[in-house]
Amino acid sequence: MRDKVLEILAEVCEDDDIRNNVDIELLDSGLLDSLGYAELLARIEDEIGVVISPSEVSRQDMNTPSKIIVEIEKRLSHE
Amino acid sequence: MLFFQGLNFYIYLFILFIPAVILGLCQKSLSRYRCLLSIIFIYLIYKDNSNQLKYLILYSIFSVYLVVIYCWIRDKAGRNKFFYFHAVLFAILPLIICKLSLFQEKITFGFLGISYITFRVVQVIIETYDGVITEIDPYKFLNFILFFPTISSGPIDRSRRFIEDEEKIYSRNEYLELVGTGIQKLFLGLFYKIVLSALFYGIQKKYFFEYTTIMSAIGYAYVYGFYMFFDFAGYSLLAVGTSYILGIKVPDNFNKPFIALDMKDFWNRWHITLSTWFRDFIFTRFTINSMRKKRFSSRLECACVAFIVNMGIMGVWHGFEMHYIFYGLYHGLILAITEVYQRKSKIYKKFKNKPIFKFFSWVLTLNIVMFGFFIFTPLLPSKNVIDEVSRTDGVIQLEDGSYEYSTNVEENVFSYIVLQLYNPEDDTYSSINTSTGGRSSETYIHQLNSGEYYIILRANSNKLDEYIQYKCQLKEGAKYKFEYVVDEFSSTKIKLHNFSFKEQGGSL
Repeated sequence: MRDKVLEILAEVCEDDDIRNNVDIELLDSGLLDSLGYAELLARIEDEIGVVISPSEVSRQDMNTPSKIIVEIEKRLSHE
Repeated sequence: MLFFQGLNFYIYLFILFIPAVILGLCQKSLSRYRCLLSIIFIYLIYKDNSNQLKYLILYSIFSVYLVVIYCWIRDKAGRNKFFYFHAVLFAILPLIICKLSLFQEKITFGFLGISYITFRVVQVIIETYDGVITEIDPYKFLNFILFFPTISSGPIDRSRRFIEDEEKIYSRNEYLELVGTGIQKLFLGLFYKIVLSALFYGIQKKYFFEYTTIMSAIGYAYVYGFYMFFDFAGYSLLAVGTSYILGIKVPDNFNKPFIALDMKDFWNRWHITLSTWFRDFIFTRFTINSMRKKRFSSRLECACVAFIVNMGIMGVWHGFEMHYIFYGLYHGLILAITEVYQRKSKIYKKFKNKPIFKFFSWVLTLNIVMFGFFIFTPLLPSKNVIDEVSRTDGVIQLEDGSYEYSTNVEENVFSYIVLQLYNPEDDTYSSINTSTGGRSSETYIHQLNSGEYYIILRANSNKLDEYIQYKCQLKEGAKYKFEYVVDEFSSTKIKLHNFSFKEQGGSL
């Protein structure tokens, strides 16, 4: 799952360095804009099967790859 | 009485803060007291207007049933688009009817705050659809939608965030910190509203009352922009400060919007709770759907359309009038252009961190913002709503268009002139302005029932009230500018020039 998320992120942000740096700032650094964020949520739902509602999590809880992975894991363990 | 206006409101507010602070310091739950305060203030503010109070209560009851029933259906039927669409439609229908009815000059189903309450109801339905909300507690839901500091003009809180605070019992130190922050915000809000907003309003009235040349129109837009910021940001601070003292950490609405370096940055700083609402509930959802359905060939195209749709809906939310729709589309288009420019322009990528480039971006952004305000305020010649002088006893209309009123009562000494609004439906008067002769012009927001009104210019005297009466149609929530000059104000005669009561636009 972790590799899949990093793969999606690398594609959405068009930056391969993300795979090597899971604590990289995504939002303030401009790597992930609002549109990229929407694409990320759509692909997490389609490819991993986890629904994250846009209003459910604050952007601060989703601003690094590792935080995103934590959010997805939380939802997977609930099922 | 209006929210955060006039001495009376603040007297009630500060007296009613005392039990809240005592409860908070004793580390008790503030929930029931907050509920009581909402009831008290709703009564105090809507009591002068039985129709609005009726609609507010009706809509609240209706929305409780709507969200509870939808939550039950969602549980049984899952993410079913048909039910979801209808639940959202029912929630916004009263707002649509209300906004459309403004065109017929007769308000239907409107009440102060309907736009903002609708946001809160709709977001609960959307989050229920998403499965984020799985149960509705009617008491907490009502507390959320009717929380009095934010009922009429926001900030727009989120239900799950609100309910977390609603259930919270603060330790003494936590609560003291909340009260401290709350008081700071209240004072800053008062400073914004009473000092700075009044200052810019004064400048506008003095120098830019008529905008006949390009320069005066530009001046008008700037002064109006600053006035609107201090007025609205001040109001938001007062609402947030009050909420803090009552134990609810309502999110902030403004963050230095005029230092924004581009328009995306501006919308992250201006009316933040509205723009994040639109981002979370419209923009992101629209883009996710578009990507799934492959509506657009590129991400950039998708982003541009999403910006225009998003801001267009925001414009329509203000009202169906053309200037609001243009305002929304203008911002949508500007955001789309910003997106293309930031993605494609080599100059932007190369220079964006250079101070001089930032300075020019800032100047450009500020002007784009100010031009937006220029669109937002209707600049077309405003309609004169005065139809006729209906009471003519003792009133002579002179050739130059002014009116003269001569009293027949001996030793009758006029003391002041009051501009009042008379509502024939329930036989009530409300005062708009008081002055003792001279020039008078001010803006007034019509908050009463709609229908036929009388504008009454009443001259109060030691013997009897003398008055000149005008008949006119006023729209609910509309903004009016009135102007008159009394150049003769003696014991027997009043001479009135330029009396007009013009519609200026505005929204609920």
